[in-house]
Amino acid sequence: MKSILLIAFARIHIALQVFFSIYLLLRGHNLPGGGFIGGLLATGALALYLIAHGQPWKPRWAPGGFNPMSVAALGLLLAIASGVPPLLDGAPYMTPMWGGEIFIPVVGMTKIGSPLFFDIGVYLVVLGVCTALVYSLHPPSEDLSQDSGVVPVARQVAGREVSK
Amino acid sequence: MFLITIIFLGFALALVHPQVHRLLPKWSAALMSLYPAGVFLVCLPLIGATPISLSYPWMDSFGLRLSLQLTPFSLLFVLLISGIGTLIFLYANAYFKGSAAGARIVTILLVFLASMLGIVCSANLILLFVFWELTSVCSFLLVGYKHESLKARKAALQALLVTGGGGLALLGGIILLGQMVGSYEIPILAASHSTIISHPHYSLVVVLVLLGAFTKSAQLPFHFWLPGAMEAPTPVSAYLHSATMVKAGVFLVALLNPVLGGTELWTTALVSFGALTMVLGALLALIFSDLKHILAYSTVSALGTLMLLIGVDSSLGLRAALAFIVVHALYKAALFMVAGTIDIFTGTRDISRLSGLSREFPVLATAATLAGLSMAGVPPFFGFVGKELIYKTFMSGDEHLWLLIAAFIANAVTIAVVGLAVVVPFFRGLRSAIPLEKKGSSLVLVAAPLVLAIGGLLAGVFTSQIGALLIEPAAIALGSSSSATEIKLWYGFNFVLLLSALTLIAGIIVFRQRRHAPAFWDLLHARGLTRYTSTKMYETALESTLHFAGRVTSKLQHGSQRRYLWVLLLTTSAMLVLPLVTLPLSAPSASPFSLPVFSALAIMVVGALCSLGMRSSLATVLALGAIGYGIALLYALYGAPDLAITQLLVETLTLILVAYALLRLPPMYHEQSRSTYLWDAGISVLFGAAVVAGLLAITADPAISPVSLFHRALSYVEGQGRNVVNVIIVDFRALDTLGEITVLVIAALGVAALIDRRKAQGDDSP
Repeated sequence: MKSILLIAFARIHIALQVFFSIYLLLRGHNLPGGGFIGGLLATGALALYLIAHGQPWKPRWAPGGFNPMSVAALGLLLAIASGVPPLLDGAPYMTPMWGGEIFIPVVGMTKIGSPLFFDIGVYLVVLGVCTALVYSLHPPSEDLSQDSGVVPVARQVAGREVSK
Repeated sequence: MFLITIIFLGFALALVHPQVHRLLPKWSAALMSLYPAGVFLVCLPLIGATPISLSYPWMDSFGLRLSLQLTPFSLLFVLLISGIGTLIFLYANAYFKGSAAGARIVTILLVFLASMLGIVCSANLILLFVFWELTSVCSFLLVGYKHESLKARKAALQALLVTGGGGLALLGGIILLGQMVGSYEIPILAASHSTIISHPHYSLVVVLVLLGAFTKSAQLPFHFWLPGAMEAPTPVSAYLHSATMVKAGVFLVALLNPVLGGTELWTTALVSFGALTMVLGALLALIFSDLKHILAYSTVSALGTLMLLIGVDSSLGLRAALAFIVVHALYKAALFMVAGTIDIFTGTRDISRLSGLSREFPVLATAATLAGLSMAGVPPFFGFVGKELIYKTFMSGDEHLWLLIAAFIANAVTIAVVGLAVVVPFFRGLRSAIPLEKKGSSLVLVAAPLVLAIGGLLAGVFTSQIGALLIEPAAIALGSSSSATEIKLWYGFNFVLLLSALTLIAGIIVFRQRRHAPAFWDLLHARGLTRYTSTKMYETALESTLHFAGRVTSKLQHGSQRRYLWVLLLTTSAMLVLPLVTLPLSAPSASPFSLPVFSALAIMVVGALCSLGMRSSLATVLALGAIGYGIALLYALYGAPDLAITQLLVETLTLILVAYALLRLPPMYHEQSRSTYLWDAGISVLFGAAVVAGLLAITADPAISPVSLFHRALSYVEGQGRNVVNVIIVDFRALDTLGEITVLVIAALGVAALIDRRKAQGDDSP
């Protein structure tokens, strides 16, 4: 059963949540935040979309829906690749290499370096994995329309009466 | 160095053989025979050379070194294994006629050959054990090769369980031995002989090691797997179960004789089991009518003889054993090959149906007769030398009198067995035989046994040379002092010769009366006494073990989620509490009252209590979620913002997922009994108390580890970041994080695959 209220609210909230997740990702190195937290927030946004609309988010540039596991794989690849440039310099794998600083609006001055890309990779992995879990548990859309969401339960607890 | 090559070349060839077979199906086995032929030819000139040994470290912390040695004793075995192996591969080539199943057999035979060479060349007990177990595995695969047949599978399993169980005991004995001495190298063990035999664990080691040797060499009561292993195709039986693998136990006993021997325990064990096996094995051979079973039981008897000879602990006994090893390998492999050839040529191995074959197959008959004469101990065959030496060993000393009698009986019966195996199929009813339908013919199948049988004759003719070149050095390598008696074919007219002649006559008499043996067995069977044979004992033991396992599983794997949780929680509580018996617990220090902290704690407690009384499952989950949010609040209050945010988010996501899961559950819970709820309550309280106790113990020692100080100090300087937690995750311990996210992806793949499969089947119940 689609709730108009939820859809309207979600429209604003999801965008906010996604931007906030990216914000947390980028500022994570100096302030509370980071890849894991950002990824979880973004998953929450996508889950909200799923609950509101009954089907996963299908952007215009991926009309068949995007495969969350692909995002996770991309993130893993990025994370692994972020450790490779030091090898070209003769240093051990995953030695951090830092470049200059750039200005990102809202976030402020951010240092660019391989840990940042690693963090982005972690973000994508967490996003992909948790979204995959949520999508796989979501029942096909026909079922949701019949259910009000709260499942009544009858239970007898150590002598109390059965109540519906 | 070349020792390593000759062993591991076998493994390499086994890898390659399937491709070779694809290219040349009819000749691949013959090609592979070049490997043992090569080994034989390379090692032949090494007779009389100084022993080679090499040792490389491999896993020194376990005492495992790649130590190989080629002593005259090993050389004897290497020549036997490779020489007979060459003929077996050629025989297998003709036997299997290039079939795919035959190719599998040849591949495994290559692995086996290499492992067998490994056993005899090892100078490190653990290395020897590895090869030992490899041969057991190869035997299992080879016996069960006709895997569609239930009989073959059972026989293979039986062989594996018996030899594998013995192998386990052997490992225990080896490890104990290594602990006693501090090394697994055989030369070092041999030097520590007096330390070993006076050690309190000595008897245990002897029992364990002998268990391993006796199961491998089919001594009573572990003999029953060998006749069962006759399910394997004949090339396998001729190689493994007569000439090589079953001799591994004898090899081990001889090798460890300088290490463990010389005591009454060792001698008594070997002598009693060996003598018993020798006599009973021979007698049992008279009962059967399948040619391979007859030969199998007589192999059992021969192995008993070998154990007996080594156990007698005399220098002559050792030499007799070494000679008999060669004797037996030559004639037994030949006879097995003859049996296989008969099977291919006539389609049956049942001696009640075979007769007069010498008319159709004269060359085969010659091979069989030559081998049979060696087995019967007729001069000038090498078998005669073997028998003479056996009698001579028991001539010294009164206590050996009964052994002499036992050997006499066994030898006489063995002669009768020769009659069964050779005279009956080939020469019985020559005049009136109805020729059986000729089902096949091949030169190699006849030539291979003939070569071996002629070898038995030649070895007899050249006894002195073989004695001086092969047997004497081998005996000395085993620690025996050089013997006064020379090994030769003819010792003159003495009592031993008279004994041999009497044995021959006795054997012929037994042969004439042979029909009583199966009749006696049938009588025992009718009276139900065959219940007590080893085979039946094994089957009973196996059945009861499986039955017991089934009952235990039904008690532990009941499928009840609740009971699994109970066991889990109880075990965890025990593991938390039991170590604390020795540790101090800190009294919780009273911290000043702070409203925010108290509120967080209150939220958690209220949530927990509410979850008990909720009627809707979703509400229960929400109430439990309050606990998670309370914890997040506590984190934030105690200055861990990253943790707090993560906890909050994870809790929310978990609630979403659980809500989804609940949609699929049936709306009604089953009512539980009052006692179940009491158990639930009790175990939960116990678990909670255990966690509290654990926490109190941990906080009793609030040491700050130097690692966290390091991280804090260097976080900005080296990590370019002020958020220590993030710097640790992404920089200092980035590899750990990489591992974690890899695990996440794998887990998600698994979960998505499981759930998607259910969806694809159109089933969305949980």
